[in-house]
Amino acid sequence: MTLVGERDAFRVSRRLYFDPAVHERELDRIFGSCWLFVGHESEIPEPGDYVTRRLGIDPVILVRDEDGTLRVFLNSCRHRGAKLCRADQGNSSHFRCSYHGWTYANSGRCVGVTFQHEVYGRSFDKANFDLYSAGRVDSLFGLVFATWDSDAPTLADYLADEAFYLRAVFGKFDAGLSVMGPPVRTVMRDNWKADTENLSGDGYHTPIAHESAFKLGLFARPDDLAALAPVTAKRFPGRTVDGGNGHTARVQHLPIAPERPMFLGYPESLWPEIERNLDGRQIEVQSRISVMHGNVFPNMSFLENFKTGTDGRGSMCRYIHVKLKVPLAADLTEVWWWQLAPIDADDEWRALSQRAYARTNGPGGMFEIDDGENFVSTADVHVGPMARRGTYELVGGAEHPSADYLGWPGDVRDGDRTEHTIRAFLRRWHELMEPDALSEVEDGLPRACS
Amino acid sequence: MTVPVPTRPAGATTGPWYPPTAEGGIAPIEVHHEVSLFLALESEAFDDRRFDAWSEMLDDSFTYRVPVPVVRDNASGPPYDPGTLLIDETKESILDIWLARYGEQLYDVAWGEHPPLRFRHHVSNVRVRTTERSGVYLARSNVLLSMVRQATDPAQLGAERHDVIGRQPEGAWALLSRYCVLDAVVLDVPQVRVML
Repeated sequence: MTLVGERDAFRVSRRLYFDPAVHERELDRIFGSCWLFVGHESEIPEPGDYVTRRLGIDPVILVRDEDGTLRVFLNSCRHRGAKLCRADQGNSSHFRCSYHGWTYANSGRCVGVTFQHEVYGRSFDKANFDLYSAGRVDSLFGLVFATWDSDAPTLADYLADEAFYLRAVFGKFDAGLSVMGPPVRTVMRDNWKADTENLSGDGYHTPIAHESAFKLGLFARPDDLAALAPVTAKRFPGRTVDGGNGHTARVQHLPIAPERPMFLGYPESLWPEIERNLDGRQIEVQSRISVMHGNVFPNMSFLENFKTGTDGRGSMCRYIHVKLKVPLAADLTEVWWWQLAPIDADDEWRALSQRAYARTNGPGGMFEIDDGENFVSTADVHVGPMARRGTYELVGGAEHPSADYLGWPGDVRDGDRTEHTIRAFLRRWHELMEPDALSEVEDGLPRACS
Repeated sequence: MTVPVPTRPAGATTGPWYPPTAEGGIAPIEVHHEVSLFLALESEAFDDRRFDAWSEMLDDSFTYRVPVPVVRDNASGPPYDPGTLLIDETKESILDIWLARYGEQLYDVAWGEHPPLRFRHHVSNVRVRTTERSGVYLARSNVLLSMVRQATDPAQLGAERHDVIGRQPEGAWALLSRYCVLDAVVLDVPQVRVML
């Protein structure tokens, strides 16, 4: 793999996506060290509430213990490794292994070893057999993250400038957001980075891949816009953000100039609290949004979308979702999908938002069908040595000017038909993978790295 | 009418989600026969991609809903979340958004739809029961949807349908609603937008 200065060339080997040896190394270097999204606090509101997830690809239990602390454990008995929790969700003060009965408090402490004295004698100390635990667990705006690395930086340091954008999406309501039920799980026969790079901020594919959605009127049409506020342009203005540490965002606005901030698609009764909970720059980000999406490196994507016409002509709504890509193999990904909604929105609005989401960006939505076909097709193609010998040239948008006049955090560029965010993602990927060591799997590995 | 939300008594680990008697008794055999034939013809129209004919079999009030599956840690809740819908459609949304992508106007740019996925509905175990409404029946059936994308191996999605089917004033049958409970929790199919 070569990565060279971005003004001239930004070139990655296709083996980066489809070589099983690269995937194996990602599991260690990236998924073994980064903060990873595991769930939302609203999924486990009460002590003892748990859900089963994956941290990297390792099965884990995310549980709120009896003291209310969020904890993440390997879902495996310390004795013989059997799975402790077999369901997706539940509530329990203790986890008891079905094999020999070792029992753990939901704080992870080993509290019971069956026939302990008979089997292990008097000197055995079960305190040495607490559950294997994530190194750190923390949350921000209800989003729960964990890392296997106990020496990892704090979550706030890890998120860097991305926290500003996460607040704009997830931290703008007084009562916060809650999940719309359990996550949906789907299998995508692609590499986890395909969808991730797309959602990092690729506004370039939208007019092509999603042309049918334009023709169906799901993006606000000129007459939709004119009914809202004075229209300023034909084109929807977009910006992309390198938020540091591989995190990214894309913010695209409706081309209208309202007299005051408009959080279109949300009930107007919630607009004052959005203004109250955001600073001036975040209000600028959120007002008149067409779409906003991005990644928390490595594998969590988020999206907030304003759509028209999903419930007949004249309808409009917003929805927020989080998508987690679990990298089961180089060409096999399990995708977890959560929809989130303001807790204070009424049932009618929540149902409207759920329908808008289900028909567009939900697991069965048309956007995902068109994107998914592109992602899976790349895996279809890269099965042989010839395709894997190729490269991707990712220089799109390298000339786009800085938008630092906005005062938004991170490296913000005007224009969203770009590969700016993909480069940000891959630069961080590259740092963590220490690709010098990858020369074992490919000749001529990196000569230079921007 | 809506399909009742299934429950089991707290602590009960066996027994049906939908008590068979709650919706009335088994319909007369002639009705069973007509409804079974209707379901077969409905699948045939969809699998043939005769979407105009298929949509004419839907009542104007038609709704299609698929709740999100979930593995619970107890046996008294259903294996899905009734309040969270993976698919939530009306006849209008199916015509305007879903089927529109199969039509000539959009087909060339609805990239995920071509070459067309091939669908084959295997419908079995049809059980037709009467309801409190004259001429309206609850038909439960099992469906195995086989889907083929391009030249890949067929993928299968199993589900139980809860269809409400009624006789229209002009005598033809129509689908009033369809509520489908998926078997799989992790959905490994080429498209999750599926008409089960």
